[in-house]
Amino acid sequence: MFAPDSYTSTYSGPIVASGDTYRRAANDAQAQGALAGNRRAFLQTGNRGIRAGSKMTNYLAGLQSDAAAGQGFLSAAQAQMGGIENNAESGLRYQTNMAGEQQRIRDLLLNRDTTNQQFDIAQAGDVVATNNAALQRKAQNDASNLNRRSSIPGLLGGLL
Amino acid sequence: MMPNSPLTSLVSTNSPYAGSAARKAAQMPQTYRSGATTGGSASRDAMARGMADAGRNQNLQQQSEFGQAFQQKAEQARSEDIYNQRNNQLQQYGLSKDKETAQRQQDLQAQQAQMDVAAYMDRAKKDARMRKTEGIMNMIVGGGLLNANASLGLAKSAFGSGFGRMSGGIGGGGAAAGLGGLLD
Repeated sequence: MFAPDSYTSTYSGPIVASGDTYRRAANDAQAQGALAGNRRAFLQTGNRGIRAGSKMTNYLAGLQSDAAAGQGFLSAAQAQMGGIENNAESGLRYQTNMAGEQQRIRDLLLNRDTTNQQFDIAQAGDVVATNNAALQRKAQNDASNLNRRSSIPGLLGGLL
Repeated sequence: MMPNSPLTSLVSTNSPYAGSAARKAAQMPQTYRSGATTGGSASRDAMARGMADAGRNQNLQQQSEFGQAFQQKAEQARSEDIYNQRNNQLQQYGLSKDKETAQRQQDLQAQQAQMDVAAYMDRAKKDARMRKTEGIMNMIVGGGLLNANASLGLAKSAFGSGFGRMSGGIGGGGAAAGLGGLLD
């Protein structure tokens, strides 16, 4: 027989990244994307003449900073989705592991039931055979008694 | 009967991107907004909007592809799980049928043995009764208790003498009636 606690799962649960692991990556990327200083970094002020502080320079710096921020936000979203996907894969893996383990336990129980049933059937067959043999012995004894009592000595003995 | 109840599986086939969290994760903030409709601000606004749209579309595409592949894997795993459960149920069913078959065979064997013994005992009783009749008749005839033309209506020659096995027929119904009390 199995011990009563044999069916406890050996799996502790889905192995997922802690929330901070990918949230931090997302937060960092978003912070980078939202950094207002980007525009200032791209704004060129060192030129002289017509390009110094022109509207075009300002515009180009804005575009560059927008592109950098967009990349940051995209990286943040990608990092967050990567975390979601990793956790989903981990959850699926845990579920399939659990299902596999339960299947192995079901197989063990089936094996146990088969063994017990074979034993029970063999035992019941032995009981039937024993009873049949006892019945036959009793019948043979009864027939022998009848045979003896119906013989001449038996009849004479009965008369006496 | 074979169990036909619907089986459940631990394996979920839900895509991780089914809820509102997925749409939220795909959202891309627009990095620049301007209410102007002319000039560089409007152009920059348009570029920022286009960039946000492109990023969101890329995210949604990634979610769709991942969800599709994920659900395919999950459904395959779930199918295998259900199959294993069903296979186990079938084997359990076979086990119960084996048990029923064995029990029926053993019951039949016991009934057969009882009928054999009953038939054997019936034969033995009839044989004993016959031998007893034969013995009594031989004692009567061989011991001189019965004469020819006696009231029992039996011919002495029909039974012979001594203790030999009776081979002749009983001459009349009176014999059975007269000896009936001795036979039981």
